[in-house]
Amino acid sequence: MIFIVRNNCTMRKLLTEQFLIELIASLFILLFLYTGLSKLNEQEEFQIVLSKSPLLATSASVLSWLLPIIEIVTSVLLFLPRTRKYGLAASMLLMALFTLYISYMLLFTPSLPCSCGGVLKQMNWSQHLVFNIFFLLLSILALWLSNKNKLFIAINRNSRTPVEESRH
Amino acid sequence: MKKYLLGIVAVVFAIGLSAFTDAETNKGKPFTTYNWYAVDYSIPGGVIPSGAQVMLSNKTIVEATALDGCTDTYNLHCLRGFSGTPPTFPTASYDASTPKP
Repeated sequence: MIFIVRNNCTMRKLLTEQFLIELIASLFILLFLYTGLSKLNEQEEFQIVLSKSPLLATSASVLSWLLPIIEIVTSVLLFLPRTRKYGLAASMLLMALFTLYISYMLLFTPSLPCSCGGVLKQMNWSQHLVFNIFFLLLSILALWLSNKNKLFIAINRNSRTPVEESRH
Repeated sequence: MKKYLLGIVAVVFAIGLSAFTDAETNKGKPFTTYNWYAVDYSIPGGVIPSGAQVMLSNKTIVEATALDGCTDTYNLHCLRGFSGTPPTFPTASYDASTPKP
């Protein structure tokens, strides 16, 4: 007896959610790889910018290498389907940290230096905060969908009760 | 292969964008040698005192930074650079003709 899932709506929904997860992961790959490579290309300038920050000045030299490397590693985790959920978790953590840092700087620092790499330099700090919050929400959505789909697949694998039954 | 497609597109775009941005940033930038002088902010507006020492001579703008020699607040430019030695020092550090580092 073969059990076949004939619930097409559910399958379609699952595939849409899968596609959404992949799309969000790809956006993060684009974001982190781009900013990571830009920071590595202008590493000295990035270090100078970090040294202007009251929070990060003491660890500017370490962070100027560590941050872009973490971003690139996160991109790799997101690229491989097996490690994608770890990449999404790392993305969420990174975006949360960046958002907290920008919020702190906006609230408590009278004079703000420039920060990011590449095209993101064009944004001011408030715009960058909105940008970060948007991506943070995206990462939370992707992680939630990823866990939800895993549960659905696990239920259907383990259940002895078929969704719909077909005899062969 | 399909599951890697979006990722590959993202990687290609990221590398292309970062290379393009880097090329645009460095396009046709001539290197100019500046001599740098410390700005004295004890006077409101800041001045470069007469007879001020050249802090960093013959350093290009790429090598010298605004923080070199600064011991005070990080957010003020405490060095001003001039290509060659100016005949007279400006009386305000925010003089429009003063090149900022």
